[in-house]
Amino acid sequence: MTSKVPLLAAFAKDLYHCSDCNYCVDAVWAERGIDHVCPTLQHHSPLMSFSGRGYLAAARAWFEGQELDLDALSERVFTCTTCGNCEQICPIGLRPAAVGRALRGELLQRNVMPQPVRDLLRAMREDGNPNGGARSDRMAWQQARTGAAAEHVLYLPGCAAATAIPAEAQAAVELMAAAGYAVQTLGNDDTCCGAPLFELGDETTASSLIDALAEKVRAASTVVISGLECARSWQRLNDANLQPVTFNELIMTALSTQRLHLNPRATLPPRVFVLDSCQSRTALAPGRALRQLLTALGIATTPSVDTARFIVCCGAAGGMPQVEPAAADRMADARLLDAGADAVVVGADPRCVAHLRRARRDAGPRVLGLAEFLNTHFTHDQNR
Amino acid sequence: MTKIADVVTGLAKALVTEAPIDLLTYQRDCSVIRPGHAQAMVRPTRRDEVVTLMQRAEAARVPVYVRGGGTMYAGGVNPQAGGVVLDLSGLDRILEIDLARGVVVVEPGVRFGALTKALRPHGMTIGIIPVTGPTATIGGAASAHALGTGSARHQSFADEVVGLEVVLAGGRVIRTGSAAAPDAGFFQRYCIGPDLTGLFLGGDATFGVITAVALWLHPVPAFRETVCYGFPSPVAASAFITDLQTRELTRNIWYGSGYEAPSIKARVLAAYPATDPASLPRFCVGLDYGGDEHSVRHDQETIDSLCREHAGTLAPVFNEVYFRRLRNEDLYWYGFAGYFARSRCAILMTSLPTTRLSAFLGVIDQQRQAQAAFTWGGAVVICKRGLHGGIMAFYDEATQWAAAASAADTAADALIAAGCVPYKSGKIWARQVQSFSAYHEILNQLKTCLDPQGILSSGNLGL
Ligand SMILES: Cc1cc2nc3c(=O)[nH]c(=O)nc-3n(C[C@H](O)[C@H](O)[C@H](O)COP(=O)(O)OP(=O)(O)OC[C@H]3O[C@@H](n4cnc5c(N)ncnc54)[C@H](O)[C@@H]3O)c2cc1C
Ligand code: SF4
Ligand code: SF4
Repeated sequence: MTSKVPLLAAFAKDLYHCSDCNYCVDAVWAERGIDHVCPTLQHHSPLMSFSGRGYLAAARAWFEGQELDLDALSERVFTCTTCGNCEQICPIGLRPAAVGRALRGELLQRNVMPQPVRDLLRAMREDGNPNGGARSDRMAWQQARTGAAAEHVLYLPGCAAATAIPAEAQAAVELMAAAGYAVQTLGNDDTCCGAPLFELGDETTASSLIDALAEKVRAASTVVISGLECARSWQRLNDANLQPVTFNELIMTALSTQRLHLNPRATLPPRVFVLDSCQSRTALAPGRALRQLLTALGIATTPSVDTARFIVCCGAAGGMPQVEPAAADRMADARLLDAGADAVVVGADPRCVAHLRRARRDAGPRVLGLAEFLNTHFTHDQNR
Repeated sequence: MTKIADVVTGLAKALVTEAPIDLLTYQRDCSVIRPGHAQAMVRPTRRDEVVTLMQRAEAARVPVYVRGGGTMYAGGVNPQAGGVVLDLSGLDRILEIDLARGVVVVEPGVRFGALTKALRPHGMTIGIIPVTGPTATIGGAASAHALGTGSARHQSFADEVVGLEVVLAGGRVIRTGSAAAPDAGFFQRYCIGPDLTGLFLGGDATFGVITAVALWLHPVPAFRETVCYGFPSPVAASAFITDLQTRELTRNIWYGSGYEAPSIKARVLAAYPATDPASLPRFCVGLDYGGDEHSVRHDQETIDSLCREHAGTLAPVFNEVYFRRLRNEDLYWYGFAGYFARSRCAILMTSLPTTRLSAFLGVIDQQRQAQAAFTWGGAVVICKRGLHGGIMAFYDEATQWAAAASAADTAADALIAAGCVPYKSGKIWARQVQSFSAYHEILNQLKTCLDPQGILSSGNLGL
């Protein structure tokens, strides 16, 4: 028998194994750094239908042939940040977030989605990024940085750095150049890796985007990326010959191998709040590395979430800023509250930085990307 | 307006839903018991909203099922008569930490993890914490006679309750223990007259909705260490545990449990495949010591020699591969995975005198023979006196759900025949509880008195 919901059928084992234990709904577990699990339940609706367990329950009902109110379902599944905390906490290793994405996929195939998702998909199709900037402006921030260096890197800023906070992309290029790299970009050929579409449940188009990007960069010896959600796209591609390094990693190596010298400009902020990203637990350079880097530069940082597994999303991921902007702002506020009003917040992931900056609306702590932060507070020896 | 809408609309700040998509998640708990179908869910954030709801529900004779963390395996939260699910997870404030009285007062939706976190800066904790601590609520634990970490020292969650605030069907609010006197507050459970607190503990929400719980505080133990003891037979192990209990040697034991041969074998051989299975003990007892180091060491020496007297030996390998992990934060992972890692499982909890350990294990063996379609397992938790035992039947919910429910029911009868009694009764033990006729008749009379329209948790405890 062929299932009417093939994307869900692939998860049948999870659907019948879920024990309704509710760990993915809510949990407080100090020893593991868990202070509630699901940002959507905390900041959008406490109804369990908005949680990982809710997705499993809905998916099972649909899989079993129950008639569901698909509009109501779409309101629930398109407000998941895709942070994956529910999967981290599930004691038996089930994949509620992936089931949520499969539900999204089934709904997209039936053309059922909230209007903001429709708009977001249109933006992706027309502009090639989720932030609304025109495709032709994607690389407008770029100033040539070729220099005489022998070692080339190909820099893929990702949609957030390229279109929402171009100062971060520009600063990244300057720092790489200062470390002695000849930095190239794809220029007008630079495109989205598909991460936003993957999160929205359109895995097919997402795969074709990363495949296309992969072909464009295959000849490059070193590919550098800024977006941590992009890092996950590359991980999914799983091509041994294409393993980009994150900008954070590259800079850290450059500092530790003395390729790059950074000298403090004036008084450094005494303490920096490191914004861990929920994307970083599987990405290439988690917040711990960022802390090491800042510590090496003599800057005290906020302590690391030890396991780096239960990072509550700041609201930037999964389409949340577009679908439920008010909830996404509450998520951002909660993270900024952790930082304190006087703090300088530094994020490894440009998407989080862009979202927090937008959400703080000129109030609360300053939020900077890593490259911006380094460029603001340090001088460097150019083109060694 | 429908009857349900009459009951649930306009409840101040409470979250209310009648959407079928939302109600899917309020149909059941972890148990094998069939789901129920409520028409609405209400999640209050204030006691007043509970009062209003109960007044209206009684007037309209609408069933109400109470839910905390929903981690129970007895079906108590399953709304089999329909009506309203009252989700108390939004009543989640810690009301008072009174170090001088040694009492903490909380709303029922506070999760254990949140409470222990709040108490930690005071160097304090509470007496009993179940495996599901990060998610289970204090109200649910009170209503389910929770056990777990602390049972060897304090027996049951119920023994740690100083008093309760309860909303009865119809909306009347009562306080029990010393707090029954106006303005006295919670500081003594047994005073004034008979113990009304006990009426609502273990009650699976049949007599009232708990809206505040006062608990005794205890200092966090300064020193912890786990030790496992292996025995050549369950008889030897039960004699050892009996000695521990009667000589009051459990005072420095934070958590204690016992494991039958198949689970010892499975865990040790998975880690050390070259082990000779014949060399493994038939029964292991794990003790998680906690307290002042000097006093722990002293008791440990006495218990080590008691173990030898009962032909036992230390079992460090079982400690290393399994029991040690059932401690502190790891308890929640390993405790949980032990039940559900391979598939869903039907869990049947029972209480037994320590001397009945062999009979309890005999029931598990009997099920293995008679109901071979399921994989069976079991373990016991050591209390200050007696044991709580769990029997698990692992099943595939896609194909074996109804059969597993019936298998659990058969096992329940076998446990009664073996001298065990229902524990965590909910709906899973309803038929057996009903068969204790004199006891059940009194329960029925109390029900008529406290919930005359029978709106609360119909089906639980066979009521
Ligand atoms: C893997 C696993 C391990 C477990 N380990 C343990 C263990 O070590 N020890 C243990 O004791 N239990 C254990 N349990 C069972 C359960 O987790 C606990 O008993 C827990 O305390 C139940 O709390 P809850 O908030 O989840 O209650 P729920 O499941 O929500 O409710 C349990 C019962 O209490 C009633 N109830 C809930 N709140 C209230 C209230 N405020 N007023 C009146 N009635 C109410 C419900 O109607 C229901 O009948 C385990 C369960 C699982 C799945
Ligand atoms: S992925 Fe994150 S937001 Fe989505 S259901 Fe899981 S915990 Fe909630
Ligand atoms: S998905 Fe995992 S954590 Fe969530 S309810 Fe199911 S078993 Fe529990």
